[in-house]
Amino acid sequence: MSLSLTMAWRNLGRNRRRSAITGSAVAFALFFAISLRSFQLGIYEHMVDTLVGGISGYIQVSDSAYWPAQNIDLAIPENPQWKKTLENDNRIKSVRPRLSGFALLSSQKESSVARWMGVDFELEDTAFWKNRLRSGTFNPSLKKNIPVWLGKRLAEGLNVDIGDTIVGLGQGYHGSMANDLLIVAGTLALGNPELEKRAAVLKFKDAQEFSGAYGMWGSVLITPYEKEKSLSLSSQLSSELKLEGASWSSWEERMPELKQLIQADSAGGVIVLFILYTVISFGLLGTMIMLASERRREFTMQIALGVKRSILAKMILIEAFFVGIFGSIVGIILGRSLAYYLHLNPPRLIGDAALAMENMGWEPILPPSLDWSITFTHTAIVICIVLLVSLWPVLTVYKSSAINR
Amino acid sequence: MKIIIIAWRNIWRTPWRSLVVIGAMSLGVWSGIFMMGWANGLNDQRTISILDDNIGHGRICSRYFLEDQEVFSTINELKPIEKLLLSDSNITTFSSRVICNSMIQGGSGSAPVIAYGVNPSSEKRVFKSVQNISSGVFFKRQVGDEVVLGEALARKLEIDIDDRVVLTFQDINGDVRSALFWLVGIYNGASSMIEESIIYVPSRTISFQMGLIDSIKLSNESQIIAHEINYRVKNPYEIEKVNNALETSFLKNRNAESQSIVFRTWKEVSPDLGVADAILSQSLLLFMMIILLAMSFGILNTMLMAVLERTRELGMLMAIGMNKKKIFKLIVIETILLSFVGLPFGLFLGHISLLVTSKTGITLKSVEQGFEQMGLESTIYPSVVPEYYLPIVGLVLILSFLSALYPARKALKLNPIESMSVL
Amino acid sequence: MFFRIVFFFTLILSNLSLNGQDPVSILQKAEKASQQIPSYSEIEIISERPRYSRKIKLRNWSLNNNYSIVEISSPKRDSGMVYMKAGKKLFTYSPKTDRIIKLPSSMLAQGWMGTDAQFDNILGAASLSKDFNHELKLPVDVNNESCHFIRCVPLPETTVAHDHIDAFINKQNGTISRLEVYNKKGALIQQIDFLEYKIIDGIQLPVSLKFSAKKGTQNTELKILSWKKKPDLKQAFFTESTMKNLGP
Repeated sequence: MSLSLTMAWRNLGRNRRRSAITGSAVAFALFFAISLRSFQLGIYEHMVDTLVGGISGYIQVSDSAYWPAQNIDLAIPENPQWKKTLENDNRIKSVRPRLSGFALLSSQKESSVARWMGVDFELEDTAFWKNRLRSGTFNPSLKKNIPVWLGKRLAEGLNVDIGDTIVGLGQGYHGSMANDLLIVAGTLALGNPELEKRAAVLKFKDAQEFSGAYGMWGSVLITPYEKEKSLSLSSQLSSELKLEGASWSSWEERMPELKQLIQADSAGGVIVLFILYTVISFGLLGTMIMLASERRREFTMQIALGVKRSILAKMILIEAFFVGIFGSIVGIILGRSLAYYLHLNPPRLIGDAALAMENMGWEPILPPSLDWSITFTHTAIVICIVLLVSLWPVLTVYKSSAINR
Repeated sequence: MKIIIIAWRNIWRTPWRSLVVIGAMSLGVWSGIFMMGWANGLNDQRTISILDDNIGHGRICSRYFLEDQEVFSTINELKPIEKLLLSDSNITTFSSRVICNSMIQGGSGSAPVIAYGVNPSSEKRVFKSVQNISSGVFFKRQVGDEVVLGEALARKLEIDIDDRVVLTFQDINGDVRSALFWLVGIYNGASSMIEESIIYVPSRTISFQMGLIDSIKLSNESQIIAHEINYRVKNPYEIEKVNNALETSFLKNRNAESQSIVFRTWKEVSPDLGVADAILSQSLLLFMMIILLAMSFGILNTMLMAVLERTRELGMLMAIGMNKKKIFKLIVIETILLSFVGLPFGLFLGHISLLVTSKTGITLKSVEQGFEQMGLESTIYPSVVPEYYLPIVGLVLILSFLSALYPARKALKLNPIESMSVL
Repeated sequence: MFFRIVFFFTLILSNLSLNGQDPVSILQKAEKASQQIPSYSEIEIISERPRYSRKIKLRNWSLNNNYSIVEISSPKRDSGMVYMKAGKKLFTYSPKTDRIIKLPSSMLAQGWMGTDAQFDNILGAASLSKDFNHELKLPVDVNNESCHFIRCVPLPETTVAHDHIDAFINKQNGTISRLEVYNKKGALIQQIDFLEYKIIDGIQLPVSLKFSAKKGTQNTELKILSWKKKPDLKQAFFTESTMKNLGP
C-alpha cells in the first residue's frame, strides 16, 4: 500500500503537465457543477425572498390560532424585551412586528375589500419597500391624516390617485369598528397580481389606532441570516425564546404550495444538472483514456520489471484521488469566488422579461446561492466520478500483456 | 491536399483518441439539443396546463367589464362575434360566460365566490378543469338550478352532492337577491385557491336571476348574453395572429360602439404567465452557456491530453522536416474532420432522444405530489425542437475549433529532440 | 345582518290563544304579528367570544323588514355610526369620516360588528309557516316552559341552505321560545332563544334574546331596553340625509 502511495505521489510530481491537465479537468468540472447548481438554487432563494421575505416572513411568531385565518382578534400583546433579545441574537437578521386585518376601502366611485398591513417602516428593510414603490413617496407630509399605500391594482380598481382620500371601514380588534379616512400616499408593486388587487399598507402605529388594537402585535416577522435553515431555526427558537401564547412557524409550513412549486421545478432542474454531469463525466473519462493511452508503455515496462498489477492499480486510484482532491480544491475556490462575486453583483435580466419582473415588484436579477451544501454535495459527486473513470487506466493495466509494443 | 490525407490517416491510426474527441463533440451537440427540448417541453406543459384550466387561449369581453366588472357590462354584439369565431378555421372551439360575484351559503358556512354562468357542453370543450369531476356530474341539465363547485369549497362548507346552497348577489339594478341552487357536481381544480373561489352555474339560470334576460326559456341553444367569450386555437403560441385577425374582421365596417369590445390573448389576460415564460428562457440561456462552456473545456482538455500523448509522434514529424505551420494545420484539420463525424452523430442522438422521450415522457417520481399541486403531471414530455439544431451545431463547431487551437499552439512549442525522448 | 334580528323579533308577536294544534297554524300565529310595526327602540347587544366580550348600545328606527336605521350609541369609539337599510340597499355613515358608504352585498353575509347576527342567513325572506314542511313532534320543555316542538323542513324551492329548523312554541302564550338551525349532517349550526317576553305599548315583545353559534362558543345576547310605536314613521324618513341628522 505504501509502495503504491509513494509511486502515486512521485508520478504526480514527475509529470507535472499531465497532472495539471488532469487536475484542471477536475477543477473545471466541479466549477461548472457548483456554478450551475448555485444559479438554480439561487433563483428559488430569490423567489422566496421576494414572495415571502417581506410579506409573511421567513419565520413568523404569532398567536397559536392565528394561521391560516389571520383573524385580527388573535393578536398578541407587545413585548419589547423579547424583541430586543431576538434582535441581539446573532442568528437573526431582523425582527419586524406587523398587524393586519380586512377592511372595505371606498373611494368616490368604487369600493373594494382589501387586506391592510401595518408596517413599522423604521424597522423594515428600506430597500425592500423602495423597490416596491411604484408611485408616491414613503414620507408624505400629512399633518393629521393617515397615509395609506395601495397595491397597484387596488389603486386602479378604486380609481384613485396620489393625494386622494378614501374611507377605510372594517372589523377592528375585538369587534370594534375600524373606521377612518385614509390619504393615498403611494402605490406598490408586490410581485403577485392577486396580492396587488387587495393589499394596502399603513404605518404600524396608524394601523393599531385604526383597528383599535392598541399595544398589540398581529404577528412578528423574523428573518434569519441563514435563510435556508428557517424551518429548523424556527423550532429551535420556539423553545429558546418562548413568547406567551404564541407559536413559531416557518414559511415552508405556511406556504406549502410555494415549497412544492420549488421542489417540482428543482426536480426539473435536476435533468439539466444531469446533462451537465454527462458532459463533465465524459470530459473526465476522455482525460483518463488519454492518460491510459499515454502511459501504456510505462505500465507495460513496469509489469515487465515485475511490479504487481494490483500495485499499479492501487497507484492509479491513489493518483486519481489526489488529483481529484487538488482539482476539487481549485474548483471550489473558483466556484465559490464566482458565486460570491455574483451574489453581490448579480447578473441582471434583460429586455421584456426584466421589465415584466420589475412591474411585478420582483428585482430582475439571478443571484447565485451561497449554500455550502452545494459545494459539499458536488465535490463528493465529482470525486466519485474521478475514481470511477480512473478504472479505465486500471483496466488497461490488467489487459496489457507484459510484452507488447 | 496531402495534409488532409495525412490528417485522415492520423485519425484512424489512434482510434481511441479520435473516438474520445468525436464523443466529446457528439455529446456537446446532444446536450444542447436535449436541453432545449427538455426546457421547452417543461415550460410548454406548464403553460398549456395553466391555460387549459382557467385562462383559455383568447378572450373577448367588453372594455367596460374589464374596468369595473359590473353586471350590466355585457358584450353587446354576441351573435356577430360568434359567427366570426365559427368561420375562423384556426379557432377550434369557444364558450361564453356570464360572471357573477356572489356569496355562497350552505352547510355550515358561507364564502365569497365568483360564479361562472356557463353553457355546460361548450365550457367543457374549452377548459380542462371542468372535465375533472370527482363526484357528481358537470350539470345534468343545460338550464336548471344546479351548481358545480370545487373540492376545497365543498369541504369548507361541509356540503355534498344533492345539498342545497344559496347564492346571494347583486342584480342588474344593484339590488341584492338570493337564489337557491342544488349541488350536482364537485370538481378537482388546479389549486385549492381556485376550488374555493370559482363555482359554475348554468348561464341562462343565473342571467335570469341577475335580471340580464327576461325569461329562462329560449327556443334555441345558444346564449343570448355574456360577459366574456373564451376560445381555443390550434397552437396557443400563435395566438397573436389569430387574435389580430379576429379583431380586424370584427372592427371592419363598424362604428365607435363596437370599439368597446376588447380582444385579448392569453398573454394579455395573464401577463405573469408570459413573465414566467421569459424568466425561464433567460435563465435557461444561462444554463446553456454553462453547459457549453463545460463541454468546450472538456474538448480542450481532451485535445491537450491528445497532444501530450502524441509528443513523440509529432517530434518525429518535426524531425523529418515537417514545418511548424504545417503541423498546426494538421491538428486543426484533424479536428475539423473529426467534427464531420462527431457533429452529425450528436445531431442524430439529440433528435432521436427527443423523439423517443417526447412520446414516452420522463417521469420524476419523487416529486409527483408537488407537480400535481401545480397542475402538472409528473411526466414531462420534451418537445422536438428542430429550429435549434442549426445554431447548436454551429456553436459546437466553433467551440471545437477554438478548443483545438490552444493544444495546436502547444504542439508548436515542442522541441523535436525532447519529444522523441519522451517515454 | 342586524336588521334581521331587529325585524325578526318584531315579527314574532302573538297574544292570541291557540285554536288548532296543527303546526302550520301554530307557526302562523307565532309569526303573525310580524306585521311590521313601525317603532323606535333602544337595544343593548352583548357578544361573547372565546377571547373577549363586547357590549354595544344602539338606537333603532324601523318601518318594516326593508326600511330601518340603526345608530350606535355606545361604546364611545364607535358611537355615532349609522347603518341604514333602504329597500335592498345597505348604507353606512360615520360622523368621524363624515362619509356615507354603500355597502356591497358581500358584507351582508358576515356577522355584524362581532355579533352572531347573521339573521339574513337564517331565513332570508322565507316564512316558517309558509315555506316549510312541518312535522309536529312531542312537546318539550324549553327554558322551563312547556312548548310545541315543530320540525320545519324547507320546501324544495325555498331559498334557505339549511337542512331543517326546529321551532319550539310556548304552549301558553303561543310565542316562539327557541329556534334551532341544523345542517344536513344533523349538526346544530345556530340557536336562538327567546328568553323573555313583555307587553310594551300594547304589544307582546321578546325583550331578551340569545343567539348561539359554533357549538356555544359564540353567543350574542340582545336586550330591548325601551320600545315604542311610531305610527308616523314613513318610507321617506329613510334617506341619506336622515342618516346624518339623527340627533339625540
